[in-house]
Amino acid sequence: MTRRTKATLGGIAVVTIVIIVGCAIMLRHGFSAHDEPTAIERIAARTARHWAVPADLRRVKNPVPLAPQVLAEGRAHFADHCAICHGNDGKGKSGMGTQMYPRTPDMTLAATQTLSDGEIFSIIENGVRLTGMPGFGSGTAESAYESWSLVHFIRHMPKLTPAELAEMEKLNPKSPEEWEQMQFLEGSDPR
Amino acid sequence: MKKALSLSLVLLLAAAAAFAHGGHGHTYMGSVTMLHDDGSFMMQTTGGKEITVLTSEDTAYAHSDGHAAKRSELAVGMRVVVKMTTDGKTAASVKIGSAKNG
Repeated sequence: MTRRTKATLGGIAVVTIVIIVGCAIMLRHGFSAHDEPTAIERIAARTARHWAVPADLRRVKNPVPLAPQVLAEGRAHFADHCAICHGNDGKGKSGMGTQMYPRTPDMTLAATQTLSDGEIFSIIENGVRLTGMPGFGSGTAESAYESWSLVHFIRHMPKLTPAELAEMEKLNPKSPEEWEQMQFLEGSDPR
Repeated sequence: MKKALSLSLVLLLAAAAAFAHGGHGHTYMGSVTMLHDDGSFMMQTTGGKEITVLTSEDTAYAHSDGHAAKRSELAVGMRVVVKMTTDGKTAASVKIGSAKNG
């Protein structure tokens, strides 16, 4: 047996032991979304997300020209559909986002902002498997326009103003409890 | 071989993630009854309970219309809606009402 073969077999044995011990630990403790994703899972998920984007879409620039109206549409759409998980500011500190596995990312940071327009578009349209991110695309021109507007808005997120956040707050969907809380703050007594 | 073993150990430790537990992020509605210097405050909930709300530097303050507010704007008698963090220890957000009690 050559030295190289021995090293290969040794490596395989070590990896096998790691997998068995890892599985034993997981089976003992069970699985919970409260855990933080491990480094291995993070790398695997990010790599899978990267490869999930069609190659020709990865290089595509946003075809919708940036205009105040487009940004306003993206902001309103985000407040209505996305903020429940991502938060209005995109930092992921929402009740839902902080308890997902993996947690919703802070989209103002480089990990999101350095993605290409096409990658962000693809994530919105097609979702990300094994995460809480659904695929919102319907394959129609309207859906594509909405998603490209959102790409513009996501690019704008690190520069959101307090006035924009207040505007979004008004557009967030509200549960009956949240309506009651709003009315309470404005002076009505609870039922 | 040693390198492979060290790497495996690191991977194994990474796989054995910590098991933290959270909660449902309780929400309280009520009126401020006392302000403390450390940022915490007391409030009487709409259910009549007197509770102490601890805050942190991550606590977000806002007016009921969504505009950002400051801790210094809180005053005794103000109506507030407090959302606790998922671990239930500190306030994640404090919404300050336009209405005052008493």
